[in-house]
Amino acid sequence: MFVHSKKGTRRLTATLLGGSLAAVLALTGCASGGSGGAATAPEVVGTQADIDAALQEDTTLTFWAWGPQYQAVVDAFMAEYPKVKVELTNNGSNQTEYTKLQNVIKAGSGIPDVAQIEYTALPQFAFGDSLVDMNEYGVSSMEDLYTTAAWSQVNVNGGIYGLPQDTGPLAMFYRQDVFDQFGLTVPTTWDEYRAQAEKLQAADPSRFMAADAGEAALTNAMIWQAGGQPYASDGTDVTVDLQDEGSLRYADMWTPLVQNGLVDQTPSFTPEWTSGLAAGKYATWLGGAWAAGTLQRRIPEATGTWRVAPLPQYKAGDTASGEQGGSSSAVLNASENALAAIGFVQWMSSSEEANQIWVDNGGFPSTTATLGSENWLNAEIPYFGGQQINQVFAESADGVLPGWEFLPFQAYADSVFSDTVGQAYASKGELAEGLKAWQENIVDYGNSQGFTVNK
Amino acid sequence: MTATTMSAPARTAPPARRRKNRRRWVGWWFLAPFLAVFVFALAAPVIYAIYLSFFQDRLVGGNTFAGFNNYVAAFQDPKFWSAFGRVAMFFFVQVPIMLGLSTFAALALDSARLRFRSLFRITLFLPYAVPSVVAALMWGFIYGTDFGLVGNLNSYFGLDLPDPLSSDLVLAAMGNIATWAFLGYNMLILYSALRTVPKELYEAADIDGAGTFQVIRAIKLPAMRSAFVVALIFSVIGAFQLFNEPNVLRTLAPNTIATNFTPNMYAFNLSFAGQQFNYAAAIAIVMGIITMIVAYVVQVVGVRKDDQ
Repeated sequence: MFVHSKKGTRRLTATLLGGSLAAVLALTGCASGGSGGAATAPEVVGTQADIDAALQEDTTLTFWAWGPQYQAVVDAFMAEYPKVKVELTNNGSNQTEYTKLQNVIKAGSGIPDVAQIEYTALPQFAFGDSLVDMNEYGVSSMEDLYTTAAWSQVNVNGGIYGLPQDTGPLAMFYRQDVFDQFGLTVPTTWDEYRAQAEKLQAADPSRFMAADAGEAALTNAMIWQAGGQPYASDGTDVTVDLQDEGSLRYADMWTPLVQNGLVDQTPSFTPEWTSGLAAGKYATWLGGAWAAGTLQRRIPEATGTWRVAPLPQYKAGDTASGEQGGSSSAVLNASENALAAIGFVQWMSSSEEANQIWVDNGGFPSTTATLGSENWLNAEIPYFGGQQINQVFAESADGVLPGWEFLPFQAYADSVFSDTVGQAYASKGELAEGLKAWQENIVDYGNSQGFTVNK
Repeated sequence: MTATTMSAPARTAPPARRRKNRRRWVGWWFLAPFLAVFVFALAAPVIYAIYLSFFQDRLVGGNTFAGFNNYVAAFQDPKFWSAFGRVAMFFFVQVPIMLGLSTFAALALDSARLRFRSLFRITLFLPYAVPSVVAALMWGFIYGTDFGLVGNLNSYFGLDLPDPLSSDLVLAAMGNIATWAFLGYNMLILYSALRTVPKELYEAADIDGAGTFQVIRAIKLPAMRSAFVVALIFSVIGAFQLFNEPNVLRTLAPNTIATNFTPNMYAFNLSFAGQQFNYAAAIAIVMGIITMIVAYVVQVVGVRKDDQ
């Protein structure tokens, strides 16, 4: 088994090598061609051959991440490339890592070679010129290995600042036992979702269709599914429109659920929330595919009660989806071993072996190879009553709407979500008003930071 | 005084002056360990914060000298002043309640009518030994309407207690935590002042036929006055720097506790979520100066009463 996957990896590296060389040639050809192409073609700093050579030299890479899967992936990498030593530092959580990363970048020392960075935060670090644009090393040839949504999220202003590790296509997790007990049907549209919510609340006022205290990550994902594209940036020109058609469509759909108390305002990942999930207080949980792993880890006692269904739609028969969460592996500009670091990231992100370890440990893949593999698709997960949940996720990944972007200062924007949209939740008011207040806050901040926002 | 009279004749004798200079130098060496710690641990951070507050480091455009812009912005920032108003209200409501209870507890301890006095003392003081983050977490569990003690009370007794973390009650809920944590500490400060009252005063009061409440009013309360001022100054600082309680409870009630709930939280969020270190430094310094002024006023007023 081990030998087999090793061969697979070699083959993959070979394809990568060939593909990227072709791409580099194509790009240089375009540049020497003269006219306007030179402006868009990235400067070539290194080739795949340089990267492969660097992986055969004695190197030590430092790697910051918080995902529980990384240690196993790193160990496998070091077995494959014994000359490269990877020192993994687990910073506990995304926020702690970003704060630390900001601090070391500001200080100019102690910067790791590679870091796990979520898609939401990638533009911020890319914009600060802290990350290597891997386009300069010909990684654009890897595009076809990933889902469109994943690839578009590592692409910031035409540069490739990370390689996708996992994605979080949205799905609806629901309690089969609660649905059975109260005679609920699995909703396929948001209208049906609300009708089921009302039915549940009427039958038992202590139960809710979902828990939602108003959280930036989920709201962004839901706006994404509704077809909104509230954020756009081109260099320092930023547009924020949280009143666009999709944003308002989401706000109009979700407001009645909040106003009528059909969703419980308990913040996620608190003890109250966990006990509510375990007790069947919440009939559904709308979340990224990673939630499957979270449920299994957090409430193992609920085995057999949860199922997964596609996210309800605005129009019956649609398959629109969005993403919540998901992260990439990025190489820091300060790295003195950029070539080996990129090689490590390529292997971790795209090799069959790494992806196998990733999914075996409850991670959700971003490569089309893994997403399309029969083994993975047909896996029957006992926790979910033997349901083939990956098929639902793969379908959702297919339906993720294109064109979504995050702000180059999303971390700040998310931090003031509760001050603005959260107030609409607290007062059971109109979410659209909350989104407006959020937008004003974001625009003020962006302009005060030197961006040109909505001007 | 003796030092000046002794060094006076030395002025006329040049060789002696050199000796005096050397003596002064030696003094600085003795001070050096303290000075080093003082400069690096106390003065340098404050000076650095002041330095930071005069710049503006933006995501676009980099670091520029900003003069007093950050301070002007702070004085015009409604988010900062609403945070300030909140801690001021906290101070005016929570501190009198806490110090009133502390005074009562100190008088009770001192009354000699209390059984198990040391047990009583240690029990009241114990919450102070609980780290404030742990205390806030613990109270967060107690306040939970589903999972916590409030929820249990509701379900066992069929009550419908209001949610302590709702926007109307959340400040009172924090006041309760602070009172719980610092009551015993302030009680000890006041009690130690009572212990210094000479026995003769009580004997004299006895001879004069004073009752318990007369003794409290005429002897004990005046004796506690300077200790009371100290406790009040600590409380001013504690209230204005409120941070751990709201920051921990925020994870449970993100919509009722805004990121600018208190000035310290506002500065924290500005620097770590918004990377506005410069503006956060200005906010911190403005808040520090206000706290110093209030503490100074408390002291001046307290001391003046002492003199009367």
